[in-house]
Amino acid sequence: MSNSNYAGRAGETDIKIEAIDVRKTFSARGNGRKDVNNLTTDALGGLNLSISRGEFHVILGPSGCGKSTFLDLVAGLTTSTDGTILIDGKPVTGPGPDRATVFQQYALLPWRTALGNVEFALENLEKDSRKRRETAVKYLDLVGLGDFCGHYPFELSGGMKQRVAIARAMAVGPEVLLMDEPFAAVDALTREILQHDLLRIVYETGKTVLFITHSIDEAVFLADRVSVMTARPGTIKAVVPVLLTRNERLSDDIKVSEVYTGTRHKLWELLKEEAAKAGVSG
Amino acid sequence: MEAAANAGRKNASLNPVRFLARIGLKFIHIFGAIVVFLIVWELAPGLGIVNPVIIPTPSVIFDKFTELALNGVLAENIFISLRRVAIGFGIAIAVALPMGFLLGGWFKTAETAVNPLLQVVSQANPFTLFPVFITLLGIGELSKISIIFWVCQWPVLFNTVTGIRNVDPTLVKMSRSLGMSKFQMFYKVLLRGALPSVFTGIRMSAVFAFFMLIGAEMIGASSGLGYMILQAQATFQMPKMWVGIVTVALLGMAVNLAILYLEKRISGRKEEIAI
Repeated sequence: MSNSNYAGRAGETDIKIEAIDVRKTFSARGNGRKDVNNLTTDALGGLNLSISRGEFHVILGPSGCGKSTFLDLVAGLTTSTDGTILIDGKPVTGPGPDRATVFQQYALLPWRTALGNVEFALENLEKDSRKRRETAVKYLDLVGLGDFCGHYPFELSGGMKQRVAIARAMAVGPEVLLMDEPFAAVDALTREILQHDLLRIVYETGKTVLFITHSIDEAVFLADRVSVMTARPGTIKAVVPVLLTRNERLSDDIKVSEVYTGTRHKLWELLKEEAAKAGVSG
Repeated sequence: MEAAANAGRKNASLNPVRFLARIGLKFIHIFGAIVVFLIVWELAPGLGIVNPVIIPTPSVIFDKFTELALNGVLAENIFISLRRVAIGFGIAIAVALPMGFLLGGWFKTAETAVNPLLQVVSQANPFTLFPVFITLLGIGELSKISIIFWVCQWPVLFNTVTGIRNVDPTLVKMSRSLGMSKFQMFYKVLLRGALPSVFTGIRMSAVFAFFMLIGAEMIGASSGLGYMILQAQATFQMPKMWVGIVTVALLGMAVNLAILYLEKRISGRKEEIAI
């Protein structure tokens, strides 16, 4: 699987995640501002998107454009004001073990060891505590933390914490991995290593990934396709395929390749406008 | 870390003198200040710094301590006092802990509504409330236990509410994304996350419990350590009074250590902060 790209071009493959005209409106709390017309904020304004099975899809957008709102909707943590999100053709009604989320702030339980944190995710799915432990160890091995099972979060570096969080997400056996700026809080070097390892794990396991970032480099390096979002109310401005094979990404230094720099430039052009708009309005 | 411990053990078996020296050093490090304090105290009356009639030397107090310990007077008073603390403190925890969990976790609107009232009520100086308690409940055990309960409940209640409020919201979001029910989230994340704060409240309460105990026993009682201290002072039995003072201090310390031990057992390892 790691030799080929994900299953193929749109149209030929089946759709894993589909968002149809998704809108989300928050009732604003004012924050002391006398609002102009009404007391609501449109976070998402009719977002349409299809993601294929096995695709690594990155959503790129300026801050405050509603990226995380969209991810929460796919995760089933909130409900949309209008429109539907389908997974395998069925509407999302709430959280489920077919999806797992990795949060930017790690979200590890400080009173549990790395192993305990991964086991936590399995407590509703697997009754047998011995099997839980086995599964947890297996996934900590997968993310390269086999030797750190007994360590508490405060004993781990930021990158290691995020590895534990990835292991926890993978352990529930999801088909879709939702990642909300997972590497934004770690240093640049660690981030590159984590990105590389994430690709390896995703390619080995064939998960569909929905990944959110505001870093263009991260988007180009990871994504099979990148969706650029508009400033609020967020919609998809353009979907840009990244024409690099999965093998190239893992083996060569693709960051100097023409495809990489070209895609990077294209995304920058698309994003520039929206970033300016977001800067003015928010 | 284990390797280091093993190395230490190996060293010890090779060189018992050095091992003993290290233990001795550790002992001095921890208890040295207390020992120096006791020596100065012991010598102070001889040097004319303090009046030995009012402040007897530690050896005199210790002699009195053994005497009172052996004839049962001390044990009886300790028992009576500890029982008052245990009941008042116990009821306070039994009431304030669930209350705090409910107000902090489930009924946030109710908490906002009653919080100002609770803040005002809890600020009433408990000593000023003594006359009220005695008028309402008499001068028997009930009023003493009630006043201890009254004082102990606040730190537990407020710290529990704060503890639950301060649990990292991303942890709640994370457990929700794993499909946990509200109840599971409550006892696996909120309760557990609030524990350090809850224990802080319990330890504060334990200190207050002893404050109020002695106060109550000095105002209207015919038994207990507070009564013993006051009565010894009134009849000018200074060593006996000092035995009472030292005993109360040691009991407070013992209870605090017991709670710390319990906390360590329940919450496991903690990050040590170095400044």
